[in-house]
Amino acid sequence: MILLFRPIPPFVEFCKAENDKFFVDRVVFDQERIGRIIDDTGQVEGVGCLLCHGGEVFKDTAGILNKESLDKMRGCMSFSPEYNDLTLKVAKIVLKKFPTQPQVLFCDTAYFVDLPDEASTYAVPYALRKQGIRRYGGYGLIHNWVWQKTQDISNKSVNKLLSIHLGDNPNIAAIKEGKPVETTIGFTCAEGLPSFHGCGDVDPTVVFQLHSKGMSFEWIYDILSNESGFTGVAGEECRYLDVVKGKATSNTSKVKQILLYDIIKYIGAFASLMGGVDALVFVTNYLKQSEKFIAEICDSLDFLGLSRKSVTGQGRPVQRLGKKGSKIEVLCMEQSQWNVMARGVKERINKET
Amino acid sequence: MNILVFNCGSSSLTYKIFEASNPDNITTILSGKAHRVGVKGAEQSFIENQYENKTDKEIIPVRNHKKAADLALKYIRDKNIQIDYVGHRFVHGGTEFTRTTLIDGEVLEKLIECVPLAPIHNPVSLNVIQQVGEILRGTPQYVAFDSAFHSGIPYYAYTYALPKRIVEEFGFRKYGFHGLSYSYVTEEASRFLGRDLDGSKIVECHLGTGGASVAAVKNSRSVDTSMGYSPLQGLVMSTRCGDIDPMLTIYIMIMYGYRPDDLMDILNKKSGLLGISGASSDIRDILHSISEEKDQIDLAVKMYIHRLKKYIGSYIAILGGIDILIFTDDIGVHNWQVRGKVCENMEWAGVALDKERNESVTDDKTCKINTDGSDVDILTIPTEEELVICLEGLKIIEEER
Repeated sequence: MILLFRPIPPFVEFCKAENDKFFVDRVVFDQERIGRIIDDTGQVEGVGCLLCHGGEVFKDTAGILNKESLDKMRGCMSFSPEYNDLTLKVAKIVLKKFPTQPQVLFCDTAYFVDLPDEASTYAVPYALRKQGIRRYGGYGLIHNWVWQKTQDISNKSVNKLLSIHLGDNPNIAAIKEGKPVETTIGFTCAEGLPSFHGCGDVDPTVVFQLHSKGMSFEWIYDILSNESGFTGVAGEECRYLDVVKGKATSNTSKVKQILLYDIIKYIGAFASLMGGVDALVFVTNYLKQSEKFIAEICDSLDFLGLSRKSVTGQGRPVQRLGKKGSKIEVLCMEQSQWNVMARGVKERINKET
Repeated sequence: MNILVFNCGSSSLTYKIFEASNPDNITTILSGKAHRVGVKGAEQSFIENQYENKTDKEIIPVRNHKKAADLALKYIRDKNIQIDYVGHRFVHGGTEFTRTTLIDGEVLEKLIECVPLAPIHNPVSLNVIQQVGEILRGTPQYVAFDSAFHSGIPYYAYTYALPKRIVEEFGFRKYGFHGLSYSYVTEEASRFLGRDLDGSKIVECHLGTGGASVAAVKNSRSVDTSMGYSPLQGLVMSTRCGDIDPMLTIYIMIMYGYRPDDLMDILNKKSGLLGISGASSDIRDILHSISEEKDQIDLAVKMYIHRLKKYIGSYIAILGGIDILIFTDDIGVHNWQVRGKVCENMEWAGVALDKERNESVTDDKTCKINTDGSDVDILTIPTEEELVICLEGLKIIEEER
C-alpha cells in the first residue's frame, strides 16, 4: 500500500493506492486525525506528500522527504501559505510515523524552476525578481508525465509539445526538447486560464480600483481566488464538469465559450514562441466527459495544421485524435495527480530496495 | 483651415495645430505637450511648445488637464493663431458613439454619461472639452473615439472572469486603446495593397515609445486587443509592466509594505523595459546599450519580443490564421531589429520577412517588408494619433458641407 497526501485547504486529501486501485478521502487537518489515518492504513510501503509551491528552492519534482526538506519548506511558506502550511504539518507527522519507509516529497512548481528568464520574469523592477517575484508555474507532475508518455507512444518525433491540462484548474505548458519554456500559471494559480474559482488573466488595475473603493487586500485576494473564474462568471457554483457536460445552461455555456477562447489564445501564443508545435496533448482526470470539449478546441486549430478524426467516445485512457494526414500529433490522456504520485513513490521504493 | 487637436494621456496633454484643407495637404504648424500633469512627486511638471522651429519649455505647476489646456490656449492666443475647429480624442464612447461626432449640447450630455466607462481617461478629456468651450466660445469641436474600433470585440474576449456583481458595479472589462491608430492603419493597408480587406485576417502591432498594444482585426474592426480595462495590461511597454499575476500586486503590498498609490506608480512608470533593464525605457537605447548590467539589458529585449510573439500567436489562433502583419508607431516603424526578432521562426504561420527590405524601411511612408514568397504581407505604416484625429475631423467637416 502507498499512502499519499495533498493539501486542499482547509482539507488534507489522502489517497491509499494499491495495485492501481485508489481510495481517496479528505479530512480537515488535525494532528490526531492524520495520525489515525496513518495508523489505520496497515502495511505502508511508501509515502508521498505534495508541495504545491516550492519557490525557487525545490528543484526536484520528486525529491526525498527528510528533515532538511522541512526546513526548505519553511523558507517558501509565504508564496502559498494556506497550501504549504498544510503540507508542512502533514510532512512532519509522516516523518515521525515512518522512520524507515521510503518517502517522497513531490513539488508541483519544481518542473518550472528553470523556465527561461524571459518567460519567468515579470516586467516589474528587477530588484523584485531577485526577491522571488517570478512566474512559478504549477502542475509540473502532470506535465512532466505527459512529456515522457508522449515520447513513449507518439508515432512522430515530438520536440515541441503543448500539454493542455483540463480540470478545475486548467493550465497549459509549452515543452521543448523535454524542458518547459512557458506556462499559463504565474506567480500564483490565479494567473492564466480562469479556473473553478480563480480569475485568470485580468488587468492589474482592477486590484487598485477595488482597493480605492474601500476593500481590504485580503478581501480582494479572496474575491480573485475564491469567487471568480467559472463560478464568478456563472453567478453560481460552477466546476469544470458543469462547464463541459452535455446539458449547458446559459450561464455555463458562457463560461465554456470564455474557457475555450482563452485556451485557443494560449495555444496560439505558445505555438508562436516555439515556432510551431509537433504535438498537442490533452490530459485530464475526466477524459470521457471532456471528449466533446476537446473536439471543439481542435476544430479551431486548422491553422496549426491539425485535422482530427471524429471523437471515438470509447473512453480509452489514451486516444489519438490526429488524422493520418495531420501535421501534428494530437493525443488525449486520462491521468490523475494521484496516479503520477503513486508511480513516483513506487520508483523510489524500487530504487531503495 | 486650422484644426487644433487635443490628445489627453493619463498624465500628459499633447496638442497640435494642423493647417489642413484636404487629407493630402496637411502641415503641422504648432505642437506642444504638457508633461506630468497632476502628478505629485519629486520631478516638476512642465509644458513644451514647438512653433516656427523654436522650442519653448516652461517649468510650471500643471495640477490638472483643465489647467494644461488653459496654458496651451494661452500660448496659442499669444502667437495669434486662428483656430477653426478643435478635435479631441475620447478614449471610450460606450455603445453610444461608434464614429467621430461634432459636439453640441446633446452630445456633451452623452459624453458625460460615458465618463465612468474609462475612469482614468474620459473625465480629463471632458474637462479639456469644457475648458475649450469656455475659452474659444463658438469654435466648433468634435470628438474621435478610441473605443469605436474596439466596440465589436465579442463578450468572451472582453470579459474578465470576475464575479458578476463586481463586473456590473465597476464596469470591469477589456476596452482596448489605440483605436484611432488601428483604424487609420487598417484603411492605409487597404489603400496600399489596393484591395478590400474585408475577410482578411490582420494582426496589427502599435509599438509606441510610451504605450504599446496589439490588435486582431477582421472586417475593419478589432476582435481582440492586448490592452484591457486600463492601458496597463498586455505587452511589456517602456515603463508599464503589461501582463502580471494580479495576486502579485497584493503580495508585494502586504510583504513589502508598498502603498497602493506607490505600487500603481511603479507598475505604470518604473516597470516595463525600464524596470528590467535598469537603464532605459527606450528599446532603441537598450538595443544599442553597452551597460554593465548586460544581463538585464539582454533580458529586457528578450522579454519585449517574447511577450509580443505571444500576443501575435494568440491572435493568429483566434483569427484562424494570418494574412497581413502590420507594424506601426515609433518603434514599429523605426526599429528594424524589433521586427526582425519578432518575425524569426514564424514560418509555421506563413510569415517570412525580407531582411533587406526590413532594414531599409523609410519613416514617412508605408513599406512592404515580406519576401516575395511569403504567404503573409508584412507592412510598416507610420501613424500619428493627432494626425488621425485631424483626418477624422476633415471627414466630418466635409460631410457637414
